[in-house]
Amino acid sequence: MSARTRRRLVEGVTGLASLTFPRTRRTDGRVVRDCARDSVDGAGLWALPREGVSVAWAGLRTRPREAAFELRSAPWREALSVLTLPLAATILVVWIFGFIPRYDHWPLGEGWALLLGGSLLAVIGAALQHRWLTALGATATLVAAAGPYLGAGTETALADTPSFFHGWRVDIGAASLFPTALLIAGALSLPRRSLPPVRALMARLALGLAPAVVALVHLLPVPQPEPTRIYTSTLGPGGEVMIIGPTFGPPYPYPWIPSSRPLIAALGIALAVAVVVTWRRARTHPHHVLATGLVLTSVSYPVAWVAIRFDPVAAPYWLYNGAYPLLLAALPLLLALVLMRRAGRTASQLH
Amino acid sequence: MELRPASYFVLASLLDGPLHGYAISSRAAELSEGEVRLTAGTLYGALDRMAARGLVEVEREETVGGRLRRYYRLTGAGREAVVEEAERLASAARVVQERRRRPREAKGLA
Repeated sequence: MSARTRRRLVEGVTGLASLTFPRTRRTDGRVVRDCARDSVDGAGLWALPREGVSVAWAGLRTRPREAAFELRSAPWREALSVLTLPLAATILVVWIFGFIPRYDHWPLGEGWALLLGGSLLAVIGAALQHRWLTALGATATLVAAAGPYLGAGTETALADTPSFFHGWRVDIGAASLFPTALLIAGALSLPRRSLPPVRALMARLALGLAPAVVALVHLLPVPQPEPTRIYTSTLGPGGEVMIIGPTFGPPYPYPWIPSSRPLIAALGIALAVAVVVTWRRARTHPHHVLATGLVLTSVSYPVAWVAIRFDPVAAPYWLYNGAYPLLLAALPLLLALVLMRRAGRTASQLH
Repeated sequence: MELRPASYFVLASLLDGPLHGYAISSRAAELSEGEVRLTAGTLYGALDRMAARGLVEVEREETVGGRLRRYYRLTGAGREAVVEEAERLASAARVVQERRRRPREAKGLA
């Protein structure tokens, strides 16, 4: 082998191995790589595989530490505070979509009073940047939303309560639970400070309520709300299955929101816009991209179900209850991790 | 503070002054009579850990023949650690050597 080919081989192998170093440790990677090249020059070509592996391993070994450092440096508190207003506004929209099309009797039950009142209070609290007001509203919403899944108010045994994602439907009520819990965390991360100036406060309030107004304009006027149809099956005298019904139950016994294409499309677009915009602004506002990552994490499972339900990645029915939703949920989760990592990296560089 | 053999010879190789990575690994191999052979990745991992413990520090970086070299030097704590370890090893060796000598002396007396 000529000296030139030998040099190229050594440089190629060690250079490739040093690519395992993260971008932030590129100089370290160069130092280790060049040391490995010196070693191969000194010991002979037989040392190349050993040195190549050692450089690659050194790079891989720094990655978890680097990632942990970046995540530690990420502006968690700022990210949690910044997501309160958009998240509270979205949760209010979700419950308006659940309430308007199907609810037809007054006065409101305590569940709906808590859901609508709580989410409205959370929007107002987030606009005021008031920690306890936001937390109170979000907690009321969470309790009312989660209650039926624990059997509260459904007058049925726990085993008969609806599962979170049964069948092919996307239960947006259940999907709102993690984001609402995230909203509580966001509320508790709001800084203790006096109220913002009236002008800023009005602007924030308008911003927080605007999506709800758009939802109302979209949903109203409501045609005759549909009652809940209940079909019961029983075995007839000859052993044949007889369907009894439909009987009409209370219009909305638990906060289960029927799959709504406009709502899902609006939420999907909002999430996609948030990902793109915050990614682009990550250099100056790392906490925004981190906030998007957190929200994406909280909705990764419902996002997977939406993907299954709608055509682009439609799957056969037998996959619905298998590992497929979980595998699919890993994709948004992965994207969320990338966003959070970017936030951490930028923040650690800024520090 | 007990040192592993590799760390001991890396620190020992820096006793005479700052060295870069490849020079440290060559010197460590020479001092240990070929017992300690460190690849580039292992050496820098060890140097990183020792720098975190305050035993060594980066003195400078320079590019020689297109290759980046990072020079390390011993800190006061590093010098102290390697001297302590040498004394510990010497005293441990003395115990065995004295025991080996005693039977011979006993035989001589008899």
